[in-house]
Formats: sequence, structure tokens, C-alpha cells
Amino acid sequence: MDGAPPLFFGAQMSGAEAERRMIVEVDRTLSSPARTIVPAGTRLLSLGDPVDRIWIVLDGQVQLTRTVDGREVVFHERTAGRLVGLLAMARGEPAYFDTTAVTDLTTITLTLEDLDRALRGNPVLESYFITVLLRSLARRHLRAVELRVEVDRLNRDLAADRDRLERALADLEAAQAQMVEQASMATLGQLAAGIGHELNNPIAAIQRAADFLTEDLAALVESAGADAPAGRFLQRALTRPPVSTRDEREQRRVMAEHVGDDDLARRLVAVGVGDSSEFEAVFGGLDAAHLEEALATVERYHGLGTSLRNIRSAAARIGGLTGSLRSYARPGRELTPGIDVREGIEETLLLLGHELRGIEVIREYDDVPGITVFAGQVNQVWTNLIHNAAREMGGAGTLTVRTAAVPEGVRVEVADTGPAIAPEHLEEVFDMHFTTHGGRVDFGLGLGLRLCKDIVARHGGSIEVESAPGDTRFIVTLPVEPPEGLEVS
Amino acid sequence: MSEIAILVVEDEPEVRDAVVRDLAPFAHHFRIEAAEDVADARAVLQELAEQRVPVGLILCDHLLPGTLGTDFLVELHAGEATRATRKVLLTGQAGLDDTVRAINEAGLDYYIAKPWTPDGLQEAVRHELTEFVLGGDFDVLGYVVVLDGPRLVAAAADRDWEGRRI
Repeated sequence: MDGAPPLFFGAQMSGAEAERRMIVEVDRTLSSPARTIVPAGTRLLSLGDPVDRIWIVLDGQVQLTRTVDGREVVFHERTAGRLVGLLAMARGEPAYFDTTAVTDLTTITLTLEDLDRALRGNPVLESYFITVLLRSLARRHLRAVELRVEVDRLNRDLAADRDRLERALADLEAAQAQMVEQASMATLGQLAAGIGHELNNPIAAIQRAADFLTEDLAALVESAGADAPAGRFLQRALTRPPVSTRDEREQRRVMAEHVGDDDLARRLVAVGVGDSSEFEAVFGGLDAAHLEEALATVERYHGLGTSLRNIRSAAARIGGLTGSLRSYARPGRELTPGIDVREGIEETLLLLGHELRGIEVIREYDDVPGITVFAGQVNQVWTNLIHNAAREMGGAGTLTVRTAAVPEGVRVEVADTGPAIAPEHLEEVFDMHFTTHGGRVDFGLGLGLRLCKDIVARHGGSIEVESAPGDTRFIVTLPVEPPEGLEVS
Repeated sequence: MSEIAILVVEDEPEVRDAVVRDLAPFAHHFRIEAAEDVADARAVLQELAEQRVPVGLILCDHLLPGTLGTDFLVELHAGEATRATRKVLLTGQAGLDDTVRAINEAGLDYYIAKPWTPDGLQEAVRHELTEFVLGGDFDVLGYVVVLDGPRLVAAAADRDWEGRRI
């Protein structure tokens, strides 16, 4: 024997050398304990088993595993070391791992008593044993550090993947919403154009029928006797512009003073007799019974004329609307040259008339060159901008539409006097689903302005927004010629 | 007899003409006034107030120049002189939100969608005016021919000859 080596002298020798010397000392102290051959696949220890012996693995490979969520996870194989079961046994705890022979093993099995005896009797063995144990623990510890680093990296990769997926999903949803919106707009456009077309015939028939009725009635009245004022009342009701309700009340006051009867004054003004000289000319000198009879007849003729006039003016309005509808919703399949943006804007203003009640519309139209665009799509831009402006003003305010020729092509400005968009939101208004609370609220489906931006960008133009309280402007610039290769959508 | 007024607020002259004409069956018993916007309607109400003519019914369009019909009805409901006035929206455009507000805040009594039928309009007006007459100190028997006769006759038993409830 060479005398007791210093405690960590094993640190200077290779791990294999320390293991070899440890086994030599075991053999020397315990009179060469028996070698056991353990076939590959044998389970040496199971998780939770009490550990009453250790295995010194002379040859072969073991694997330390645990079952996590039904799957076997390998914790140590290369890093398992030559001493199996020592840690648990030393601490008197059950096995930490399932330990299995990967290859056929040559082992020495030592019980706690064997080991105790050997270590007590041989300080050299104790030193080698500690060296081997320390190296084994160090390897396992390093392995644990590696695993931790690996888990960390995987977590980061996963988070990055998740972010990418979330973004991709949001983009897909946005694209889908936009496609649905565009498809439904296209369908609605076709439907509107179709309805506009279909309405032409009935509206033409109504207009013509009203004209014929007017002619026939005039002829009838004439043949019935020209002395009656009936024809004159019919004609007047047909042609007289509507009188405001204010003016009517004023006339009633005047007539009530003249005839001394509120109800009579009311009926007279209703048939357009608004001053005393006319009353005298038509009804002067009649006694009450004859006055009533004459007035009743006049009321009939006046009613006829008013109804005919109303039919004609209502039909003319429908005709104007259907005309606008057809040209506004013109199928967006073809690039059309020479489009005057002012026409599209005018049609839009007409069709959105119901939203613009109470709003003053100012047109500042400079001459602009005709541009080549998908007219239906560009009309959608005006519609969205004007609709938004009207909504922001809530039924009272001023909408200003300006057009101008600029070096890049045509510039259109839609300005409203509604509340300002907060500066920090200016960038976002063209985003999908942008909404604000308080101040300017959500924009329709949240798609309107995004669609505008897409349509304008496709045509090679730009859209910007400037906003101050009482003055918010959306500015669209479109080139005269669109970029090469522009397609429907 | 024109001790009670009906007010029609409608900005389109063609539509206003038609509504007023469809109210012809009531013209002998009620004073029918028309206004083309809210400012005008206020002027009419002022005039009626000065003449001490109560407004039994207001038929109001929803989309009016500058003001929503609903807002006007809310305002009327808050005013003492017009709280009891029966309020009817006659409109093609009021959305759900506005209608809900009209019911909750303006005490909206009825909603007539455009285009209306004369029968439907007259039936609604008859019902609302009957309610109004029964709710006040009016000579209910004077309206038997034009409003809901049986209800008015039944109610007359509880009133003195001047229409006051006893």
C-alpha cells in the first residue's frame, strides 16, 4: 500500500483511472466480490423503490429515466456514471429514477453493510470512492444545468413561434374580413345596379301616367265649362312650388282677419288663396251656402293638382336616385379612363342624402383631369369618407369637399367640422377594427378606412388625415394613370 | 270645434301633404297643424299655447333637418304643456337605438313605418286621440263620432256635462 492519498488527489487523474483504482481497492478489501452479468433491458431500480444496495458498473451502460405525463424522459445515460443507487441509499431515501440496463452489464453489487465495511477498513478506497462519487455527481449536475439551458431556449423559441402564429392569424382574419367586405360590396353593387335598372320601367310608366292624367284632366275641366275657377286652381296646384308651413300660417292670420273665421281661413290658404283680393275675386258676394259649395269644388280640384304634382316630383326623385344608383354602382370589372371624380362624389352625395340632412355641404371643385380607375371602387372611397364625416358631425355641421389638380394627378379633400381625432390615434385610423371611445367613435365595421387605404394604394395613390377640433380632413391623391398591372382586387 | 290640435312634423312637402290629407276625417273635430322642421314646430306649439289649444297628438318624422325627431319628442316629453300629448313616430329611417330611446325617454306611444296605409294611420290616430281625450277634462261626447265612440260613451258616465271627471 502506498499510504493514504490526499483527499482530492483523484482530481489529478482521469476519471477512468480513479474508477479503475477504486475497483482494485474494492477487490482488495472485500476479497474480489462476485461479478454479476445483468442482461440488457433489466430494471435495476424503479422510482420510489427502497434502495438497500449499490451497483458498481464495471462494463456496459445504464439509463436513468422518469415517466412524465405518461412518457419516459431520459435524464441520464452518458452522465449516469458507474455508481448506481448510491445517492438514494446514502440518504436513506427511495430511488429517484427508474434505472435500466441499456446494454449487458458487468456489475459488482454491494449492500450497505458491504460498503460500510469496505470503507471503514480502507481509507484509500474511501478517497477513490469519494473521487468517483464527486465526479459522478458533478457530471449529473452539469447535465442538469444543460437541461435547464435547453428548456429555457425551447421556451423562448416557443414564445417566438406563438407570437408569429398570433400575428399570422390576425393578418389572416383581417384579410378574410376585408375579402368578405369587398365581396359583399361587389354583390351589393351589382344588386343595386340591377335594381336601378329594373326600376326604370315602372318609374317611367308612373311619370308618363301622371303626365297623361294631367292632360286628360285639363281637357275635361275645359270641356265642363270655362267659367268655373276650377281649371285655374288645378293648374296652380300643379305648378305652384310648395309653400313653407311658416308662410302658410302667416297667410292664415291675414285671411282670418279678412273673413273673420279661422276654419274658413285655413281652408282658403290650403287651396292657395292667400290674399284678400283673390278671395273677393273668386268668392266675393257668395252667401255661406254657396261659398261652401264653391270652396268644396275648389278643394277637389286643388287636391287633384297637388296629388299629381306630388306624384310627378316624387317620381322624378326616384328617377334621379335610380340613375345615380346605376352609375354609382357600375360594375367594377373594368378600368375606365376619363373618370371625373366630381361626378362620383356628386352621386355619392345624392345617395347619402339621408345622412346629410341638417349638414351644410360646400363644394369647392377645381377642374381636375379625368383619371383611369375602377370607378365603382373609387366611389366606395368617397362613400366611406362622406359617411364617416356625416356620422362624426351627428346631423349638424359643415361638410366641405374640395377637388384640385396636382402634379401627381387629382387631389380630393373631404373635411368635416366634427370632433378631432386624438393625435395618438391619427396613425391608427386606417387600421383594421380601429375604434376610439369618447371623441370619434368606431368607424362603421372598422373596415371602411382600411378599405379606402387599400383601394387608393392599389390605384397608386395615397390617403392622409389631418385633424383639429372642428376641422378633420381626409386627403386622397390619385394618379391620372394607375400603376401597370392593376387588377380588379 | 277645434279645442284640440294635431301637429304633423315632416320636412318633405309631398309627404306632408299626404299625411295631412289622410288626416281629413279628423279635420272637423281637431285643428290640424303642419310644420316642416323642429324650429317651425316650436313656433306652432308657441302659438297653440298662447291660444290655449292643447296638442293632443304629434306625428313626427325621425330624420328632420338639423334635429332628430326622437330628440324633439324627448324634449316635448320633458315640457309640462306637452307631456300628455300622444307621441307617434312616422318614419322609414329610425333605427333600433333611436326607437328604444323614443320609447324609454320620450314616452313614445306608437310607431308607424313608411309607407303607411290610410287605414293604419287613421286607426292609430283614433286610438291615440281617444287616449288623450280620456286622459283630460274634455267633453268626451263631442268626439264620439270621430274617435272610439263606445269607450267615450262609457267614460261619459263618470263626467259632468262640461267633461270634468266626477
